[in-house]
Amino acid sequence: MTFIDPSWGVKSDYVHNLAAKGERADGRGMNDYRKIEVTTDFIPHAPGSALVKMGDTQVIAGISLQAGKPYSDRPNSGVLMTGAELVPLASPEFEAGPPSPKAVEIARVVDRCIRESDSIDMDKLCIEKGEAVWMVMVDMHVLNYAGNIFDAGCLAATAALHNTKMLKFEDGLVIKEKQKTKLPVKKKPVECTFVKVGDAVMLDPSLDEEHALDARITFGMVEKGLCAAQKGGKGSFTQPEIDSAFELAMKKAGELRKHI
Amino acid sequence: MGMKSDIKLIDAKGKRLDGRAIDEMRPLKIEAGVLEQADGSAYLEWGNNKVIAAVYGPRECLPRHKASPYGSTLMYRYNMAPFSVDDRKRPGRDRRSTEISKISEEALNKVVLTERFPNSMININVEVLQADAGTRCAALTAASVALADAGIPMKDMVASCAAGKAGDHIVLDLGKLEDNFGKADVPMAIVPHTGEIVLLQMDGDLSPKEFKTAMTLATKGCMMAYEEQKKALKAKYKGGGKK
Amino acid sequence: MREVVIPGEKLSEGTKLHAGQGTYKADDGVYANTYGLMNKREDAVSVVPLEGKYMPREGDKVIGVIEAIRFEAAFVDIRSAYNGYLPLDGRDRLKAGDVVLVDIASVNEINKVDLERPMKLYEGKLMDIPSVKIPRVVGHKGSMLELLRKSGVTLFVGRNGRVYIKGDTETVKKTEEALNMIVELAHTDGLTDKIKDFLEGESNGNEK
Repeated sequence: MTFIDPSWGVKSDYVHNLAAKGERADGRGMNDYRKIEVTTDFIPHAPGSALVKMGDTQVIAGISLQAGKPYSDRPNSGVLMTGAELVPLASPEFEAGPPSPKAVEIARVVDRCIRESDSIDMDKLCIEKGEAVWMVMVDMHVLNYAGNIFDAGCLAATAALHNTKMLKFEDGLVIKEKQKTKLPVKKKPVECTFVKVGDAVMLDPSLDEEHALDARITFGMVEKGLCAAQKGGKGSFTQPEIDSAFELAMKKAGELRKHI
Repeated sequence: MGMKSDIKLIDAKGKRLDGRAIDEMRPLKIEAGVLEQADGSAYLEWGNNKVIAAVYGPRECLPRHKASPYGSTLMYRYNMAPFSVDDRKRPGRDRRSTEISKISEEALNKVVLTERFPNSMININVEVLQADAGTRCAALTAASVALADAGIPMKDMVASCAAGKAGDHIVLDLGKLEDNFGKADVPMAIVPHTGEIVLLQMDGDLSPKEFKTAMTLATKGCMMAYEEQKKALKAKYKGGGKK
Repeated sequence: MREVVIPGEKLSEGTKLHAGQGTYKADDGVYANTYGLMNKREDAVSVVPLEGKYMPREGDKVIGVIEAIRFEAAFVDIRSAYNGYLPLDGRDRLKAGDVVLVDIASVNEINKVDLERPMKLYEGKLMDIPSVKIPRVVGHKGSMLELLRKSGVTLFVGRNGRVYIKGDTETVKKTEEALNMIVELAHTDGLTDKIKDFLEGESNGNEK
């Protein structure tokens, strides 16, 4: 049974009324992020990790490295895999079981953002052409769900990738011992998410704002342009709304990158 | 997207591999009301894409906990047949189809008057029989026709088309090679008479200016798809009888 | 012939016309919200649906199929988004699978459909047709129904698009063909005459 907070209706009206006046419940401006904290190497046993706090939202990204067979069409290229888990610990609305469409969407949008930004130098991850390459697994684990997992998750993933140390590969086996060399990561892809509530468009939605949203747009930003985008929600955006959100995302992406 | 190759996607005259101009869509053909069992249905061919959509409902909502007292629950299922792609696709749900189903469902929620049928559900099932790039747009365009054909009240249709980057050009409606070797893909869906954007995705590498050009071009493509949707629904009752 | 319109199609410029069934008003005009036939008059515009599920209404007579019996009540499939609920007293010997001609007693605001006065139907032909075509099957003041019954066939028409036909094989077949014709030609003019010609003619329905 899906959990429904009986007070959503009231909270949502409140968010709508404030938005119409250009205000937000936590006093932020429409284009402000909540306070962001990034702690890298949060899980020292993992090759790479980062904990991101974005307001009350907390996401850990952990990186695992495995050796595996490359895809036949890219025999000397490493492999990237991205997952997201919305574990019941993080919110009364999350359920145990196979990944929900929401979790799948988050994982795939972050995956696209990292992949398409060409951030990881995949060709350097070849161990033996056609036989063995490094597989980089990014797992986002939500600890507390208070809105905007897209941005927090992507920031955690990118921060963790930048902090990842390579493992040793000997006689066909991975030795779980962190090396000095780092994972070859060149860029800092980040995501900026906006939601539309009534006619107002705001950055970095809180939980109540996310429940009240009509539509959502996420931009995956890399240093010089766009590498991913995803619209969600049952409502729509006009072209000018998309244009101005995108302009702002270009600015905000720079701010986010400073945390890495 | 982004596979490396020496293939030239656009020749010196600005023609694409299949001879299309930069802003030219692949041929699109839609037929409404093709399945007898379904409440509404549509068959669509778009380039080499072949897609069939069926709508059932509104009907009793199962599982019951998905029912909403505020309106009908849309359930969109995008599915690729195992034989639709060169390498057999393992049957059943995967992450890609889960995501496409979710955002397509949300897009249709904007136009369907779900509040007319509280506690019920409307199933929209789309099968991709042959895939040739742009299947999510093809599926959504067909689904919208099937919904109208089921007599389900809607504010408007939803029409979908993608634009992308092949070589150094922003082009409409990527073909398969352009999808594999191109630099970016921007699938979009709009509500035709208001121009509202109900689905927007992007992957690849685009400058801010290119992104805007791609959206403008995709919007044009959506309007072309809309014209075909309209034709299909009008044709069903032309000349005095249902076929 | 009236024009076929699709959802979102603009039916009139400006908002002067009254927006009737199957339409809605936006800032700049009246639009269709249903796939159907446009009915435009001087002061109003509406759309008659060509397809669609039956929506239960109080007082309608429908033909239902009993899906289950639980706690002194039957749950009845009425070809709608909602099942009907039929309280039973000891005298109704109904079981799952039975077909009943039944009245809709009430429909409440959450679309709970209560049924009453069931009449069990035996060994006839049950036929499903789109519920939006039922008004044409009944005809003006029941004229079409009267025409169809002239052959002596027993014919019950549920407002939900279920039709029950009983009679000798030949008559049932002819009635069925006539009903299919009505469905196919429902949106055309002169329907009663066409059906009359068909039923009274010597032809067996093969000619067009």
